[in-house]
Amino acid sequence: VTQLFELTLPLDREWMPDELFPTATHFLFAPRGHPEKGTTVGTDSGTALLLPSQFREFRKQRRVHDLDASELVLRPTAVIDLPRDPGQAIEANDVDDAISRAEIRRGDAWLVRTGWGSVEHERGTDRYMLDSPFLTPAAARRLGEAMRAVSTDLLLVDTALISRPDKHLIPEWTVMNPRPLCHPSEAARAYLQGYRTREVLADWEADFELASAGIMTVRRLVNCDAIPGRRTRLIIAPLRVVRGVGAPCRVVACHDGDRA
Amino acid sequence: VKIHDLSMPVWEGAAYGEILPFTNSSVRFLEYMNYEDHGIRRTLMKLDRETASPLISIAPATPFNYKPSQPNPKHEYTLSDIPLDWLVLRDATVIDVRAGSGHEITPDELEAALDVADYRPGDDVLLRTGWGTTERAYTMGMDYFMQGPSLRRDAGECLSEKMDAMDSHFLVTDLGLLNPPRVQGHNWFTGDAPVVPLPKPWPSAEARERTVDLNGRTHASEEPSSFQAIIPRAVAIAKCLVDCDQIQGNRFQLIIMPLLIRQAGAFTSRFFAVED
Repeated sequence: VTQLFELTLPLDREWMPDELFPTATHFLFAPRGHPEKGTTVGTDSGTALLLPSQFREFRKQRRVHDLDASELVLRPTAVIDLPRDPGQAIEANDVDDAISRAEIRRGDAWLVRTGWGSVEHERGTDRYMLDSPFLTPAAARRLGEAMRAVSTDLLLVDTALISRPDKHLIPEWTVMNPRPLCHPSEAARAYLQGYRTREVLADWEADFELASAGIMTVRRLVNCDAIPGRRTRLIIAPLRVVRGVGAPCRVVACHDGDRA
Repeated sequence: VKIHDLSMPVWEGAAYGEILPFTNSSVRFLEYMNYEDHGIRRTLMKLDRETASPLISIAPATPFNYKPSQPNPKHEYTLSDIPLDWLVLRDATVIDVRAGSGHEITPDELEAALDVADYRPGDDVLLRTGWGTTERAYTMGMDYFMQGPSLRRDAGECLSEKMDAMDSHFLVTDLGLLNPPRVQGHNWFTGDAPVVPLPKPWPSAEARERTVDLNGRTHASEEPSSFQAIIPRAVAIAKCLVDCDQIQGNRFQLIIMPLLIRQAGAFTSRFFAVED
């Protein structure tokens, strides 16, 4: 008997916890008769897959529509437990310890479980994003090296972020009162005029480290604590965007004991 | 295990967003962070409920309107409420009715296909015509839909009865449009008085004017919809799947993954077939 677990942060037209920074797109779900009838989502809305090609340096690497179904569906996955407190960093030595306790096989996807995605977050606050555990650049580098060593290229996390953007976005954007809305607000577009490559790379250094190692990432998983044991199989279903460097996705765990 | 991707890709300007006035609307991408200025790409994607391969429930307008599109539905689920074990690794049967350009599947053809299918109680149903391919969708543009095969209303009624008797939850198909184009596009891109040149879809002035003309109906034809013949007996219907001929057997396991939008009644989904 296969147990199924929903690991996806739902897209909610009333409130999305990830719409903190100007780099995010507002999730809009509009009714018939509305000029914007339909849906507006961003590359990294909600639970999202991001590829190394999101960065200019790796733009020649593959895109979302290039991913083979066998990489996404029933993918054997090692669950790597790294419990973190709110706002706590994952350091390089934490990675080594956690890997040594995990049951990893060649080609696995890796799911780093901190517990953050299983916390019930109060609606309307910024805490989900600002208090999220995160990877330091050194930890990301270590993870990338370790994953390459076992021929894997897919990392999933239950944190809201990979990097903590505390060089620019947090001190410059989140302190504004009242805080402007995310993209496509006028204020977000104005901020992005000055938020250039240097600032992006300073804020998203851990993301860049993983991309440098050729690692795809899925962030903002929820409910991962429900997965029993240290191995599972995942279905990862991003929107099949042609030439996309990332996309919102649905993630479900199929747990059937030793088969993973 | 073989895993086949049956999902229509999403790209800007794709024909599925261009052919009808408001059932669907244009796919638009706005790149607001780019390689040149930011060293990273971020894109705003404007999609619609029926972009690419959509899964459509009995009440497609939820959460804005929970009214079923047909009376007395057998199931009433929004996409986010469908139990996961109905979406993942469900047994499915292939109903093969090969159909080329412009063909409308008849009840006789459908019944002949049902007679030879290995259709078991509880199966989901793939109605496979061979029409839907990624290459054809990329190259044919709007003709992919205007000239594509479809299902006649009476054939839809026949399939609905069978699915009800077999307690099937989902119908998925590689037809671009389930309704015949002459019905769905009547007096828009075809019919007695097509609109020439063809206007852009919603929110063009012509599309908005059409909502006034139709007064709540979704198309201008007097002929009823084959989609509406089936949906009251199903949990949901998916159309516009591609590359279903990858499936070698007449049975497989189906994975349906709609993007998880709270209370959505219809949306773009991913479809995978699993064969041992």
